[in-house]
Amino acid sequence: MQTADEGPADLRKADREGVEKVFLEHLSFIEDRLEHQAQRSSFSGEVAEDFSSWAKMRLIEDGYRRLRAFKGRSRFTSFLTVVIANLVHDYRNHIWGRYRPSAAAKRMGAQAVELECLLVRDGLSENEAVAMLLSEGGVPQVHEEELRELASQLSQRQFGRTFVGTEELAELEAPNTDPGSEAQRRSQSLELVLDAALAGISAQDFLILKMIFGSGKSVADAARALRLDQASLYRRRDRSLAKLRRHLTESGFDWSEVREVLNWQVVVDSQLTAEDESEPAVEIGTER
Amino acid sequence: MSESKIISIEDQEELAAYLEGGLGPGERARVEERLVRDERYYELFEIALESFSTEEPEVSPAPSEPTAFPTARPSGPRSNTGWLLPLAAGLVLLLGSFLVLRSPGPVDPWATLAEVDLSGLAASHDWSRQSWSLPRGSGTSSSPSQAAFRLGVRLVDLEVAQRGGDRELAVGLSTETVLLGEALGKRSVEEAFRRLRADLLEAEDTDLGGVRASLLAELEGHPGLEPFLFGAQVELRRLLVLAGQLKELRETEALRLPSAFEGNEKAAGLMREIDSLLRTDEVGEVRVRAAYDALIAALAG
Repeated sequence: MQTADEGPADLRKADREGVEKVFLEHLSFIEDRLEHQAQRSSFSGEVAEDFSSWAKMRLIEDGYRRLRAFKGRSRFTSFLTVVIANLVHDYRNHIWGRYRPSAAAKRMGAQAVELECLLVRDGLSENEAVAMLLSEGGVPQVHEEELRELASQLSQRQFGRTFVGTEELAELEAPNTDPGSEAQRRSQSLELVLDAALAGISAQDFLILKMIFGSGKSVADAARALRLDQASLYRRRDRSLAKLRRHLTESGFDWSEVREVLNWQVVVDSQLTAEDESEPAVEIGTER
Repeated sequence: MSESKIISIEDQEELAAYLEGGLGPGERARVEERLVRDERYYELFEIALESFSTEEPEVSPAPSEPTAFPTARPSGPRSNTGWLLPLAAGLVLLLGSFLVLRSPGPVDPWATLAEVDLSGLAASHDWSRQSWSLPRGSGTSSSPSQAAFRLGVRLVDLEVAQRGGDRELAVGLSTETVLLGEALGKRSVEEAFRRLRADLLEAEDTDLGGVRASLLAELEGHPGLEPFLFGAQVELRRLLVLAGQLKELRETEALRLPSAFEGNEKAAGLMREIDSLLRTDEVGEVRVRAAYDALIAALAG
């Protein structure tokens, strides 16, 4: 067997047969990556198969355009991994739109993701969502009790969400429906915050904070991804956060607004302690 | 969120190099700056990171002889449904020409199916859900029976795609049939599909009827014949359901599981389930289709 470290150096000048050969050599790798991404995305059987087929079509279309662009700057398998990640991103957008399954639903499995999707993204009632899944269940049978239990667990995860009746809804002030205004305002705010932040700390420091407080990554994960020493990263995290807060506050930004603009859902106002990652001094605010 | 630039293939390669630690300090800083400012790029980084943290699977060696894998010609993005419209016209002919070709036993259920109009398939958005997917390990991991079964399924799909004018899908399917032919251990079958794929790639007239005829001749006496015919019949029935022809399907003869699959309890259970569903008038298309999908999954390996 060839190891994953081996691979072509540059495919830009390869002929069609050459690229095909490389594709075939890596087909097993590609399918493993697609399967992995389908699992991570909680795609159920039919959707997973559809994703796999669609992604492979994207890889071979236009005379293997994507593969032929490979210059050899990275290992070919690393390149494939990122290209496939980009495809899964597009596919998620295609089937989910702006909705993203919660971490809780993902943990509960594909059925919970489907259920949450119907409840949250499509706005169905519990009865409607359960009925739909039961009618689509076919084989294997889906049990109503299991779905009800999942729905109950998912509803308990909807922190801070309040449901109101239609009469109450009618009395509420209509929100600004101009689709551009809110997004535009948010984008401008973010740009201002980022400009100010990056004047105070390095992009790498900000990235570390973004991974930990924005994405909920552990310090160990961030260290591994950025190839940094884990032990020193705790102190660096705390120093960067303190520096960032001070700099932004001095620049006239309100810290709570900054957190909101940055979409950092992990509360970072508590005092941070560096020693124990398993018991972080940060408080998890909401599920993503 | 901040403005997202288009993430080119070059950007993706740069990100790959970044993730494996292969960039210089200046390049790393540039990538990190973009990761901070470009949400779309950061989302890609997050997704890719999930794969980087897992152990890399092995890469298979190339086939011993060059395999002329299809190169899709430049074409617009494939719509899921747009091409189905011209498909409808060809479907009755498709069944007429394909189904009467071979009778698997004393009673020929295909002859009944040949009379059925599948034009309702054009309205379905789901038929391509079973679109092509390559067998793992370049087709060598399937057993000959599984490969033959899948070949039957895919040959029907190929004919439907070709007649519907979806060349991209037809090329993809023809690639799978080459690999399945290889898994079947029949050099001549593999060669026939290679020629078919070459014709599709060159956009020349393709003679699927001829391919079918020579395939059946080649499989005469081969243990793969029965699974192959069974695969074609199952897929045709699945398409009938998608075409809204459940009533007609209820009138057809029940299928029997080929001897090659005896012992496959899951498939046997699904066959019984399908029979039972088809005998119950209240059961809708969704459940029958799900049962056929599950049966194909159980037998395709």
